[in-house]
Amino acid sequence: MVDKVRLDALPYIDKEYSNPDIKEKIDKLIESELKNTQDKPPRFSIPKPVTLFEKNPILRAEYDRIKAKKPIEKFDISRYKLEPPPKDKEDDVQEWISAASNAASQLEHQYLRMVNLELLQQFGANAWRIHNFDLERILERLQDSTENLQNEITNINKLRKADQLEAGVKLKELQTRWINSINKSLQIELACKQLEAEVQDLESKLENAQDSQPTNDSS
Amino acid sequence: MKVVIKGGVWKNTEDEVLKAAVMKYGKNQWPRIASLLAKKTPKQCKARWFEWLDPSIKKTDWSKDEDEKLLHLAKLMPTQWRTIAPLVGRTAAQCLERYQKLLDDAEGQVEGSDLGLQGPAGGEGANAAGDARRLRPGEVDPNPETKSARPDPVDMDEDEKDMLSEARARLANTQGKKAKRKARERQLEEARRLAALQKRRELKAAGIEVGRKKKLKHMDYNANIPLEKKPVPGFYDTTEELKVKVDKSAMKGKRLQDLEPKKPWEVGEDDDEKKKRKRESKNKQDSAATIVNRQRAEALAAAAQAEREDAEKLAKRKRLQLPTPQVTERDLETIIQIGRQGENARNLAQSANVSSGTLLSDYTTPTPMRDIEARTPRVPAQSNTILSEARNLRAMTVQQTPLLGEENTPLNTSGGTGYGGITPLKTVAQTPNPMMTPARGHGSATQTRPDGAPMRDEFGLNAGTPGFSNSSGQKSLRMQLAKKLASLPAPKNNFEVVVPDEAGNDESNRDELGDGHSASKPQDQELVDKKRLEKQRVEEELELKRRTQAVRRDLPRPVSFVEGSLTNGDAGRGGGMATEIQKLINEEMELLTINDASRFPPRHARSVSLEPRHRLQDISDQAIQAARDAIAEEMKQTPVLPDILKEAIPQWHEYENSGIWDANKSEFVAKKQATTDVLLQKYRGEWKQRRKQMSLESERATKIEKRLNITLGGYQARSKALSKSIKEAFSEYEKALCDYGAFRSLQMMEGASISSRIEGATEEVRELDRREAELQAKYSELSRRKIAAQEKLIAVKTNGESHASSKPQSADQQ
Repeated sequence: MVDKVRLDALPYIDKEYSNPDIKEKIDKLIESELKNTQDKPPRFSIPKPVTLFEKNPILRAEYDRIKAKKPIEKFDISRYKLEPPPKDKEDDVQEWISAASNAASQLEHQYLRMVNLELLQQFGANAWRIHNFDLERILERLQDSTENLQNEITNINKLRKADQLEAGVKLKELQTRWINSINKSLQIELACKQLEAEVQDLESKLENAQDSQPTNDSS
Repeated sequence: MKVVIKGGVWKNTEDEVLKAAVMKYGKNQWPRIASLLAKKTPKQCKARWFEWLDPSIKKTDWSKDEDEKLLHLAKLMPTQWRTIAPLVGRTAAQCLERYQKLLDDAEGQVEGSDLGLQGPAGGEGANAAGDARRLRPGEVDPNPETKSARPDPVDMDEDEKDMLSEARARLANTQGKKAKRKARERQLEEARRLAALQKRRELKAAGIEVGRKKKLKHMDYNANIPLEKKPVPGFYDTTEELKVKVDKSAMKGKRLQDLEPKKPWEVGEDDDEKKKRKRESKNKQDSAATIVNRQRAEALAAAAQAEREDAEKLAKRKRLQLPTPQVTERDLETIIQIGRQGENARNLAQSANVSSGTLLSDYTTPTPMRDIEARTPRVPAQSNTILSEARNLRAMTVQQTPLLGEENTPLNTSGGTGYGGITPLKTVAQTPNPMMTPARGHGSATQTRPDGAPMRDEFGLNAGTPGFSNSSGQKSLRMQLAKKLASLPAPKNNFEVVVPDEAGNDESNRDELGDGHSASKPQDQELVDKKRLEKQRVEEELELKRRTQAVRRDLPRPVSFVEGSLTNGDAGRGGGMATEIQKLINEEMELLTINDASRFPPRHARSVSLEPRHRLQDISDQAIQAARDAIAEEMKQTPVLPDILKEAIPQWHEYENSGIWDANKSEFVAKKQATTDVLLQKYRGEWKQRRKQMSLESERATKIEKRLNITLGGYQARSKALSKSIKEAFSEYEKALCDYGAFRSLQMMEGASISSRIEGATEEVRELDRREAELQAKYSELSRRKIAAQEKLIAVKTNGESHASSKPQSADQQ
């Protein structure tokens, strides 16, 4: 399919686009064409749709939620509260046991938090520094490669221009030759036509004469 | 009748007259001298001479040495100033005055300032004390003989003038018989001497050396001078100069008057005459007006003179008194020589033999500098002996009579000049020697008591007293010695034994000899020590092995142990063989635990005293080993450890949670039996405690978080900014990539289209060319046909003579 599409455009030779009238026309054409091909770019084949998070129902649900653009559910902070049992169940031993165990587990979480904080205190600054350093390197590399690409692009454009200008000279020469040849052939054709007419005339005359030879042809 | 009281302050004129009179009459005719001075008695004159005018009297400031001497002698010989004076080298009056001044200074000196920076004569206190003895207006000087003379007034009193003129006349009188004779004798003597001198010089000038006549009778003192002190040779060699002959011709043509300086009396006479003449001429010139001017000028000059004297007094300083060097020039030279000799010996030894080189250690390397200060230490502060002596003397003078029975005056005995001899005891300031080895310097062999006295007990008199135990002193001595010895370098025992090569048959002999030698030789101490240490180490290891596992692994173990808590608990249950065994085991375990707790208490715990009945007998290593083997054997049959744990942990938990603390009954209650109240109390308490803990913890955590936010906020912000710019950069990169692809494909496509266009164009052109050629061919055909037709027609015309037609020329051919 790609092979069949052939764009014969040499922007450095074809100066038509700089002509405003023609430009308008072309723009219109492009617009109309774009209207036709808005949704499906004709040149790229769309890959098969992938179903995400097939095996993970939680992530799937989250994905669906974001797809549906629903707001995120409110965070359940009840577990982080250290509430005593409600008033009506104040004498329930089981409630108190669960409350105490909840407190114990939260204390454990708190301990973990403290541990993490301490770790952060000890290594946080360094970790952040390393992280930032990595980010800087990434940014640097990205910028470098972008610059390289830009350079490549300008090189390509330079090459294109050079090629096209060279070709343009050749084409122009060929064009003049073509015009000359056409002129010449036209002239020759005309001359031929003339000559042919003359020849016909002469031949007819000759015939007449030959016819009148015996009878002394005169014209 | 006018009563004249003689005495009072001495005036300059009186002094001058006295001096002249002493010159004339000598120091024995004081009444005669005093007769020249109207206001002075012979005694006063004598005193004046001996206390002030004698040229041998020192009037300079008192030096420190003199002060010291004075105070010392005053201490030894109180109030005997006439005895002290010649020893000090001053007059008695001077000594007394100085003594009083020193004592006053000592009184006025601020207590405790022993730096002695102010000096004996300086300071506020000294001035205040000096004021006490100053003469007040109206008071009469008790001994004016020792004071400097009062200057002459410009206009002298009449009686003074009389006295002066009379004295002048009397002193200048040479008209007396005796004076005349004396003058003549003096002149003759001088003339004789000069004649002799002249004669000798003339002879010398003539080249005739006339040695001094040797006096046969008398001794030649110049030949052999006893105790002669030869001048110290200077820097330059003067032996050459001694050889140089004096140029004799320099003496020629000179008169005695040229060579000899003028005699003092001649000079005096000449000057006197000149002055007289001058004065007379001046007097003639002087008018009344100029006298005033001269007086003013004189006053100005006097003022200037006084000022100059004041400045001199101020500028005058005491001489710096430095102690004599402890190491003299000669000592230094000998030290250098010794060092050189040692160096030579070392060189010789090193060059001669390698083996003997090790005998000489290299002392040229400097001693380790860690003990030596970078700069010379300060000389230890010396107590001001003068001040302390003066204080002592003052204390003694103000002392009351012993009859009153008061306490003795406290005297400062530490820093004085002592009572040892006539010369004051002197401590020479020693330059501290930083290089001195500590053994000789500070390490005192005898210990000192707290009060500074050395502790000596060679005879063991104080053996009983605790603070004076000789053994402890010796112990510390030994320790000091050991410390010093420990700092010695380790011995280097690297030496070679060169066995001389001998014939083989001697070998057996020698071996025997060697064997016998080694057997008889005692073993090297180092080896013995090594063996002993090794043995000790092995012993320690064994000891370590003998301990129980709990001690060896430093497991948690009871600090104290209630006796019988193990045995009683289980003993009650059932009976029979098994319980008996169990009981035995428990007893043994208890014993072990108690022993461990006492002998090897856990860290930070005190050891429990061990009762003798609990003392564990030493168990033999074999028994321990056997027990351990048995345990290992049994362990093989029992399930492996994790399996035990699997069972044990739930059991433990169950056990742990089985009891509940009942606060009301204050005892543990089984969980199943507990009432809801107890349970509620327990869990509520737990919950409350945890909440409290939680709040504390969370507060801490938030605090830390806040701090972390501050410390890490910068990094976070930087990271955010970086990621943002990375996003931007990435989109840019994507765009560039896209562009790149597009332009690449464009380039390819354009290349294709260029070639296709050119191809098409050339094709078209070729086609046209072809067509042109065709047309040309056609044209030429046509023209040929035309020509043929024309020719034919002409032929026909010639035949018919009616032929006139234009023949088309061939068109522009290309």
